[in-house]
Amino acid sequence: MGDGASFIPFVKADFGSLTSTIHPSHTLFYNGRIHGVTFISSDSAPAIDSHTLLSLMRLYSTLNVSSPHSLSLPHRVFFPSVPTFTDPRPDPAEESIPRQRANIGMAPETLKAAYPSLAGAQFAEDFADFTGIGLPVLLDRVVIADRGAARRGGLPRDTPAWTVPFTRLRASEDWFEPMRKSLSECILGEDENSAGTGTSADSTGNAPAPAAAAAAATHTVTYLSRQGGEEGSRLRAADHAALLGALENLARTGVRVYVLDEYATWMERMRALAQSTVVLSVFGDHLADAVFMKRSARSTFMEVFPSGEFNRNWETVVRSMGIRYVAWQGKRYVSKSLFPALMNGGFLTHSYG
Amino acid sequence: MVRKYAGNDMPEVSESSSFDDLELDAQAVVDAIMEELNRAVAD
Repeated sequence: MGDGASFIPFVKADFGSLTSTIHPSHTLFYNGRIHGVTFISSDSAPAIDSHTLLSLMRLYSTLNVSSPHSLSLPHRVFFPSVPTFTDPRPDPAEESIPRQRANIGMAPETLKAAYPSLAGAQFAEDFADFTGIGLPVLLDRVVIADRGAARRGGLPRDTPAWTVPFTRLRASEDWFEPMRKSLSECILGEDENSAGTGTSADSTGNAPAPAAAAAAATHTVTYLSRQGGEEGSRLRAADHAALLGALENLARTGVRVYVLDEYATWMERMRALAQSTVVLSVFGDHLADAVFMKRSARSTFMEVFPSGEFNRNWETVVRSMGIRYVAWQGKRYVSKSLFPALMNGGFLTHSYG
Repeated sequence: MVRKYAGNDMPEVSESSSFDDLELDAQAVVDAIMEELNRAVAD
């Protein structure tokens, strides 16, 4: 089991062929066979974050680099070290207290919409059910992430282990497309990538400026505002106000502009993102939803950092999907040329001052 | 919390608190957005 510290670097567990080598007489030694693809993240609850399922999916997609769509979608995900609920068990007589479900690194709605093939996440109690049977269970195909094993395998302590399937293993840029399309079709009724040009909306009603109209008419930009939070980073109030003004001007050109704050509903947020060619926000885990943005040749993800500091979490993820990545720091645009290709140059050796 | 990476092949990570309000040149951002959108049309 994991110790909550890292992911397995190079594990690609594929037991599909194993079943064909088991002699029928041996079948008595396992209790049952669970068909399909099973993801297992053995990390404890604090280590589960917005990168967990993405990393498992990325790892799985490396089994077929040339045609990831030919892989069957995962059928279940186990979190054997994560209890189903995070709150203390309430008094059985008190039925009015809603239970707090475990964090699986994404909104439960997103799991249902983007991973419809998953029967649902299964937790420690479910895993204990299998243990209680007292006999082994044969899983057809398993993809496992285990940070403890990764550490024992030599992964440096300071390396964010979820990055390894992104940086050390090859996969198609389309590796996330099945999930993105599922969510888009679920909330929009169709995949925006195949839905034609669409129409502009949310503009001020003024005619588009000629120079911008051609570019603007069919595109959507979403700004995920974080100004209402009590902690974490946000824009300076004056800069936020200036950005809203500039985005309003952009909307006048015919571009659809959505500004969503922390209080937007899941549906509002995901509908906007699924249509968006450009997504902009300050850095943070809330950007996990942006992986569902519309795909085009110039889909662009913009992330704002404090002066002198940055991280490469979302750059690592979105660039693996073929999305352009732009970082802003202070008042400066950080040149894309300073970000080396993930598979070639590794990570930056300095922060931008 | 910001993770600052340094290293050659894989990052080393140091963490520091960064709860400051961030500066941003709003007009430069929107200009860059337009640049990206125009590029998409050109393709």
